[in-house]
Amino acid sequence: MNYTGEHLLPGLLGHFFIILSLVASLLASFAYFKAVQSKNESDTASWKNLARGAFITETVSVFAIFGILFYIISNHFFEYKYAWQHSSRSLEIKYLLSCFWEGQEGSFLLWSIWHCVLGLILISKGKQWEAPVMTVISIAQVCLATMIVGIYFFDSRVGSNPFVLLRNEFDLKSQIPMLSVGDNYKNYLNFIRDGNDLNPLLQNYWMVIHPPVLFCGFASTIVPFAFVVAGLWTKKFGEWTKAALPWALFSAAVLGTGIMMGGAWAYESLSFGGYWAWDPVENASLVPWLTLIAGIHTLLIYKHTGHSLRATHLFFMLSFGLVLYSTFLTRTGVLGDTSVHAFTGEGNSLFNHLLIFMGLMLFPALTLFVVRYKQIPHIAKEEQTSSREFWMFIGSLIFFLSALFIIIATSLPVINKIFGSNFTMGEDAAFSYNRVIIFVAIILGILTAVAQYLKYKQTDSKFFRKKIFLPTIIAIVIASLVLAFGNINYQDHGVEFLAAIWLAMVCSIYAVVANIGYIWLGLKGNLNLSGGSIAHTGFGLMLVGILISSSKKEVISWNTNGIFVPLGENKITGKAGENLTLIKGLPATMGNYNVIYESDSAHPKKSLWYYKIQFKSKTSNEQFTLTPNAFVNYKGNQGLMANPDAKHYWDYDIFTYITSLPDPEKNKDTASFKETLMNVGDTIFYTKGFAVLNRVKLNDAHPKYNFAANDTALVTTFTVYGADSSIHTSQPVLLIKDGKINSLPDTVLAQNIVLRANGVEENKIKVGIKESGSILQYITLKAYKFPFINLLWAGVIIMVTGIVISIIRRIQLNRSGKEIENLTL
Amino acid sequence: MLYNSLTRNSNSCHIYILTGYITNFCATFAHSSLLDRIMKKIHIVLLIFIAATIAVLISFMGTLSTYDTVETALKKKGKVVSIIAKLDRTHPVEYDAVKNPNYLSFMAYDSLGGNMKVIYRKEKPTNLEHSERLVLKGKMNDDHFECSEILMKCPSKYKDDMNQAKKNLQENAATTPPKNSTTQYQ
Repeated sequence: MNYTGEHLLPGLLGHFFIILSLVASLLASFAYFKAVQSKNESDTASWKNLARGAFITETVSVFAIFGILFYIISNHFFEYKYAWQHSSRSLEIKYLLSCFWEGQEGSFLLWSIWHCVLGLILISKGKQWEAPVMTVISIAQVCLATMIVGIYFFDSRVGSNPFVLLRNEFDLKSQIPMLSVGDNYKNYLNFIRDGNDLNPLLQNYWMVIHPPVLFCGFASTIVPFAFVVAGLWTKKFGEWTKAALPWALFSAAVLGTGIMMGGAWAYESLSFGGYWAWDPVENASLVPWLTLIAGIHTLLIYKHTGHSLRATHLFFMLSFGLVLYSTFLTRTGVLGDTSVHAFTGEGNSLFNHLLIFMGLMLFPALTLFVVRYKQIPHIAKEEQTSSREFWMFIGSLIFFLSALFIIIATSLPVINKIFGSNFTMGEDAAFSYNRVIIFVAIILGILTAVAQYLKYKQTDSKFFRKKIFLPTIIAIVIASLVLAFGNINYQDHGVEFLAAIWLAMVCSIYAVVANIGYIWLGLKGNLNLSGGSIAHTGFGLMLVGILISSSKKEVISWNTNGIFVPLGENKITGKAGENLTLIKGLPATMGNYNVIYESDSAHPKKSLWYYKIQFKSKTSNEQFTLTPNAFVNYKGNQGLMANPDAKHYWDYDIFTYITSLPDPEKNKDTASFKETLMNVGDTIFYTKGFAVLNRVKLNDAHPKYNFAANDTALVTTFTVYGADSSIHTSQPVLLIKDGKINSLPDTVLAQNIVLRANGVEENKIKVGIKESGSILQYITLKAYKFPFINLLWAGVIIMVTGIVISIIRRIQLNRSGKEIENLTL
Repeated sequence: MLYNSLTRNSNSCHIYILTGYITNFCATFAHSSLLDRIMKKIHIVLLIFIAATIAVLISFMGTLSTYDTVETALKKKGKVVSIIAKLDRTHPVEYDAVKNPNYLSFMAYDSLGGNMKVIYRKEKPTNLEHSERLVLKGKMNDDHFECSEILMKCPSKYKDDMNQAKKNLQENAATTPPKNSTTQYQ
């Protein structure tokens, strides 16, 4: 059967390129493998040439798949399931790319694209390491290609193809009865006029840039891993470290940026009031970064002293392994009941598929590592306690152990599955992490501060004391000032935890000061060499920012209002609730602010509402308006999806989001108008007061409407006297247009009444009054004050800048072939 | 509340005491000359770290709660548990933001048919009524379940869910009547 309006060519091309990419990556893997294995140099060269050709073909295919899918999405070809499921006509152009990462197929495609880009760089710069490293990457590419191939292998479908047609995936006739009528099925596209749209949570600018960066970070962890495998495979143990270091640094920088961009997204668009919630999905991306940092440090130890090569192997293998494991955790739905993030997988077939992917990548690598472990060079003589490498190694261990702790805690659902237990996180999941990680912060803070002042191999203690004296004094002074005047008084978890916070604060300030100091004291202000110190300064600053912002976060929407809510007091905890209800037009107090819910407006195309809330400080003339918004009953996402709004100051943010809105179903106005004939001066009563008709005038001035001379609009003006001794003005209008009488009622929100002028009889105005409880317009919101969140963001930026400086320097050193002197990074 | 903070504190005390004990133990050992010959400093550090990790994990296990049913939760009154339940739609969900935006109450039942009244002193999760399944964390009291956290499984959250996608398809078609069937799709 031919269907009207379908565009089948892009899909056919897409299928072709998917098959081509799978075949090409298989060929590349095989050819690179042969290039490494063949003894004869001309054989190696010809295998390598073949492999390169295959890899470039593969790259072209992957980009073509991406381009075709983008073409389909941006042209709204809803005959393709992917476009239908993840986009809509009303989707802004900037979010079209986000459709890629909403779906699983697009995510794997993005991962694959980054592998291709990294692969091309490795082909041009990899030299002797190209063949073994690219073998590993090509095998990973085979696995990723199978993720989107979508062919049946016996009874189960392998992968999920982004080019499948909607009509093949759904039995459209059973879904849309109209299609069974006559020729309608042939024209089924006429019935599918719009797509399912992108999840509203992803319609945020961070979601345009965060996933590609994060995926680049994930993808790049394969490079250090591949170098480890290459070293073990070719038995050139340790030689790979020089070439791998800039890659590992790159990976750390990009993955770190990606994770914190996710934090920024969570902060600005997820309504859990923070940038980090120890959600399994967040943990899963953090853990590979921690082991990567551990690996970078042990690698530096190896370069300078020859120690810790074995540990470096382990850490880099682990980083990539954890990336795969994270994908497994977040994509297969194992986490199910524990994560707020919205991911599901394809069920069992993806579950097994990812397990095979993990096994295929990790099993050979681990086997090689175990078999050749003894051959990896190591130094029997042990490190001095006064040496830099000793403490760097301890720092790496701490990173590794905290990664271990976090991943074990995150894997509870997996542990339950394996052992049949039924554990879940306790009452305060975040605190279960924080109480451990705070000690990690303390130890890392001190190590970050001190380790650079030690020299490799051995440090003269007089030299060390002389150098570190000044930074220590400065840090103590600053830390004392912060603790004395910063009012860091976090009460939620008792005195011990507060003490730990104080200690961690001192240590992280020490880390910042000592590393800034080291740039001058140790490196004489030479910025080219200071990548490490700058990165460490940023890391310290991040710790400070995390500690201050989380321990001094304030809820300002405490429901102590008392006007509406005598029940606001939570009798069990003795605490007021965190939500505050604001009634439109009615001023309320919230923390240090007088707030008023002024107005709302709707997005022209979507069921998206904006709520204008004015904040006025009680103590200063500070004044601003926040406009949080919310999707209401949006495309199958019943209820409300709120996006916060924040006012940013350099030292704190005021942050608010909607938590509840009147239910439109329950809010239907059931009361009716009571009608009376009135003259000017007459009074009409309602239960809580009365209204006096003051004036009736043709085309009178009106706050809402502008009547021209040729209009016929009777404007009636009432003064409403509430029993609460409030006085309001109301101006319903009787508009005569095209020979018809239109009544334009006016609402007095504060009194819950509606007045209308409905006609003229016996020279009197027919006035209607309606009272109801349901015309009340209100919003319920939460508001927070976040202090010093900018320290965290600044810390991230400085840290990444430091790493980038190190990458540049490492690449330069590798080019010039010089060995480095006694300096970190 | 008081009880809770006490147990928590005692938990963190465990770590202090345990790590402190191990450190002391190792430090005394480190001075003996015998050990100098057998063990390297780094080995001692490793031992300390392994011990600390185990201590941390044990104390972490202590903070964990379990999945329970209404019946088993009733036997653990006052203890934090997680109950997987469904919203009882035959009873009204009580929430009035104007009266009190921090009070939600509803009935829920678990897979074994156990019934309970749930009170949650926060805002109403907006898609509660459309949830398929609820994971309720909190403590069982005599007459109600004092809930501190609600995690919802909603069909809508999972856009890969085919059933929901199909439903959207129907709604889409229902709200957009076809134009003249010869009209080309634009």
